[in-house]
Amino acid sequence: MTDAPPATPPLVALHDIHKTFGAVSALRGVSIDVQPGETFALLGDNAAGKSTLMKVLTGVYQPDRGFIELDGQRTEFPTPSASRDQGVEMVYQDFALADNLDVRSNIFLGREPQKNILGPLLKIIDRKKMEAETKRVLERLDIPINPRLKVKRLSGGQRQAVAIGRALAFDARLIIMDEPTANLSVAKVDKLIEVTQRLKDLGIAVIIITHRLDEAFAVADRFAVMRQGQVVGRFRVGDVSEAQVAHLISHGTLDDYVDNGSGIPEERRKIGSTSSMDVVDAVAARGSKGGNGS
Amino acid sequence: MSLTMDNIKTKLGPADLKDGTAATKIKRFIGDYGIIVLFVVILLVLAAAAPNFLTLNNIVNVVRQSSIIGLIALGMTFIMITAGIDLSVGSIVGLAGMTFALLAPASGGAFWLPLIVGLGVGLLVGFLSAALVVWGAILPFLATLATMAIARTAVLVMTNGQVVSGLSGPAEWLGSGFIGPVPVPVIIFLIAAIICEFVLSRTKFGSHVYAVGGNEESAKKVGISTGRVLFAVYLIGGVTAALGGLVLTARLDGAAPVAGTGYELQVIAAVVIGGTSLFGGVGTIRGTVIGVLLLGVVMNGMNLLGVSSYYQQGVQGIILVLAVLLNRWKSD
Amino acid sequence: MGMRPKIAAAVAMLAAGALTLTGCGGNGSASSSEAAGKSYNIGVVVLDLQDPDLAHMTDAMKKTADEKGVKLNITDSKKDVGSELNQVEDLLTRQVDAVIMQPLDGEASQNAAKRVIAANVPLFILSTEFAEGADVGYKSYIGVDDTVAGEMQAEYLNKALPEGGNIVFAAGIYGASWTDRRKNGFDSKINKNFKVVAEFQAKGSRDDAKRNMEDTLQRFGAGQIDAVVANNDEMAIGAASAIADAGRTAEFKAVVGVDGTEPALQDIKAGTMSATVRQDSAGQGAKAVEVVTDFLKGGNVENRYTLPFTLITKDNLSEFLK
Ligand SMILES: Nc1ncnc2c1ncn2[C@@H]1O[C@H](COP(=O)(O)OP(=O)(O)OP(=O)(O)O)[C@@H](O)[C@H]1O
Ligand SMILES: [Mg+2]
Repeated sequence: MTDAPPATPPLVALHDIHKTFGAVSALRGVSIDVQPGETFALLGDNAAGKSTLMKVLTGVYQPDRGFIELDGQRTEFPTPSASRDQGVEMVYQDFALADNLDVRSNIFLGREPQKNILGPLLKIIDRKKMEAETKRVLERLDIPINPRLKVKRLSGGQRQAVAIGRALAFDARLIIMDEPTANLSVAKVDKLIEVTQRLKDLGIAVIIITHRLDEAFAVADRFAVMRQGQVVGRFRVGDVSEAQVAHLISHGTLDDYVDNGSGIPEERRKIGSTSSMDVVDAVAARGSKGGNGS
Repeated sequence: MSLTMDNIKTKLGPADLKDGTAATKIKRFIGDYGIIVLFVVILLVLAAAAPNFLTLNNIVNVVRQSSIIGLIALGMTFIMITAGIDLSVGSIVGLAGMTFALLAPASGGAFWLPLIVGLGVGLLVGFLSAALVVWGAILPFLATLATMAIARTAVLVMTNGQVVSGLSGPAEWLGSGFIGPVPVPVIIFLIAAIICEFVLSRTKFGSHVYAVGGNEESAKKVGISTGRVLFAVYLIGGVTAALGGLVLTARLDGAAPVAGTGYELQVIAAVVIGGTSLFGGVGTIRGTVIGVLLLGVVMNGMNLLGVSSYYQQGVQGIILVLAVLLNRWKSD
Repeated sequence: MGMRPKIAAAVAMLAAGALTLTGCGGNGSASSSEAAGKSYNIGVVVLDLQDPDLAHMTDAMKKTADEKGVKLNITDSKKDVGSELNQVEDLLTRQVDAVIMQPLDGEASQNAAKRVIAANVPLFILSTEFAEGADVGYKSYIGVDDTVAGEMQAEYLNKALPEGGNIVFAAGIYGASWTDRRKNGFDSKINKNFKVVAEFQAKGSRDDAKRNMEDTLQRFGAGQIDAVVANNDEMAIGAASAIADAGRTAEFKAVVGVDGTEPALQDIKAGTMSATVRQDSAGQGAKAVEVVTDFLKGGNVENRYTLPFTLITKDNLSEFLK
């Protein structure tokens, strides 16, 4: 298998996660793992369960069944801050910025460093520290922005940098980006790919949620395809074609895939269809087709 | 790469504040300092036109008159920065003031108890507004329209619509006393303003107030308990309005059931003149203090010049419009 | 749009109802056969139940109603013309036998009054008069003439300060008939050797009057003002309080209000105010209920019942203090 587990334990692993909202089974036994420093893409159609899975990972939702492992140790994220404390940071689709505040305030929003004045009872925000740290993280991303600039004056790409910088400022080990390109122009997408590369150089693992294949293929090391609350395939980039993945996203299986001559060489496709796919998941997904009301 | 001021500048591009044509620069200057300029111009005009305007006596008089609206405006600033509004402040003035007037003579010399009960009443109404806004998810305008009516009804029921007149000496001191040359209401207002300025501009809570007003959803996502922030601002609004009511009652040596009626509009006008946005996220205590003083000075000046009451409200309206237009050009 | 026919229909029905109720008596008076043993229901719209003086008045009305065995439906217009009309319409819908109305405004309230007339319900006007020359067919006016209050203030000053002097005038609400009449009455009777050097509108409130008086005291130094005349007591009290705070009480020869409220009497006692004229609100309320009951029982009523004002100064204060 090309998806063979490496020797070191994964940074995070989600095992057999289930989550139901009333009549909707959003997640039905999902397992994924992300290696340290790896860029991992989560693909799937609308309502596949991608966001829900990430909300389980960031402590927004508690799974009905299944568990999370961090560095091979079983752990729990009862709240978003518990997950953040462990170095798991989320970059929201809308960046979750406050336009009326400056860059440094946004980077530290909700986690402002404080210092004592007149004894330990009276604390004020340590703006100097915020400014220095802001410069540091934006420099690490190689996107310097004046820390005192109001966010409403920033371009889309700069705003994204602030959102990512927010994660970096707190020593993130894993950054989750939900549809990071949805708000960006084409030129900015290239910049994002650059930033993702930069995060990889910094040794930070990234999960990118997207339903755009080209992006996933451009940035990811590995990816998983979700459909109707289940993983229907896991691949290493290069092992499958975009056309195959597109088919998988919409059908949940490659069994009925007809090659219409995409660019992937014959041998590769063969390997892809026999060894690099998680057939069990694909079959399971097909078996329950129509069972999901969503 | 290293990050020097130079390369920051080059990378900032059009977003840099220092850029822009001369026209936009002038606009920004007017937007940032226009109210202060307007204030100074008004002061100069009045000083020239009204011989008694720049006397120490009159300055003390204006600031003392402004301190009640000022106190209420402090809390309103917090609320309006969260993109909320509190229409109940006038009723809180009436309710807290009436509570104080009823309890003060009965408690003999000690006015601490009536004071604390009066403030407690303000907290209670603030809590009710907050509960409607946060738990009931009712628009602040409507929620506080309701608490405004409820609190006013409470005043009426308390006294059957009667004026309560005549407080004890120490209670009156709160409204008419002096510490050195400074009137007690002014000292209360100053201390409250300094505390509010500190909280809003220096503390984590203050920063979260701005965040909630700027983007409540974002604030929630980064883990700020927006409900708690909203609760806190309406409680602050309740307390400052109640404090205004206590000082007013002490100053008038009595409470009328209609006391404070219409204050909400004066207060909102002062806060807006001070640069706070009705849409939230923007505003300062410093600005509010200037807005309050500006309105106070204008009213005082018109009286000194013998301007007919017919025109006074109109002039207030013109200043409000001017301020709103000036604030539109703010640089940030 | 659809409102108009509805209202018209309602009014028509009410008119029909009123006609059957009043029987053959028509416009004149209720037939005596129905009067016996019938419990009358009288609708009342006062300006503002929050107002202390009006609270006294409605208390007296309730008391008289109990004595006379009639029922009262007391509402207030909250000093709003729109809600005045609403209250009147509500009362008409509830088929009251008569309406006692304290008009908010000499002009704007005529609408509401005419609505009552149109419904053929007898209308009585209490304490506030319609603008002069108004053509409203009410049965009786019960109250005072506010003009007289202003005249009495002027006569008091003429007597207390025969040499005249400078006056600061605290007006109530410009355009409100109580303010205009009191002001006109004052102007008509005040001696020529008096001069109004400053006038402000304080809307009847102690708060507004105090603030305006503080400014006025800044404007005029010692000896430049001799008297304050206010359209009501709350404003006189506010002005007196500003004067006392400035330590200038001794400079003022007269501070005069209208209403004769308890706090004003206390100020007269303390020497910060010098006089007030009291309209007997309770007396008016009681009289109104009396007149309406008489009318409903078939009695003849006059077009106008004017109750006198009383001047209260230090000399006769003891008669009025509680
Ligand atoms: N809080 C919730 N309450 C009820 N149903 C929910 C909730 N959150 C998600 N769902 C449902 O769970 C399913 C999975 O939703 P999820 O948002 O995880 O999909 P997604 O893969 O992120 O889709 P998209 O690409 O559209 O963002 C959907 O049917 C959705 O309606
Ligand atoms: Mg999603």
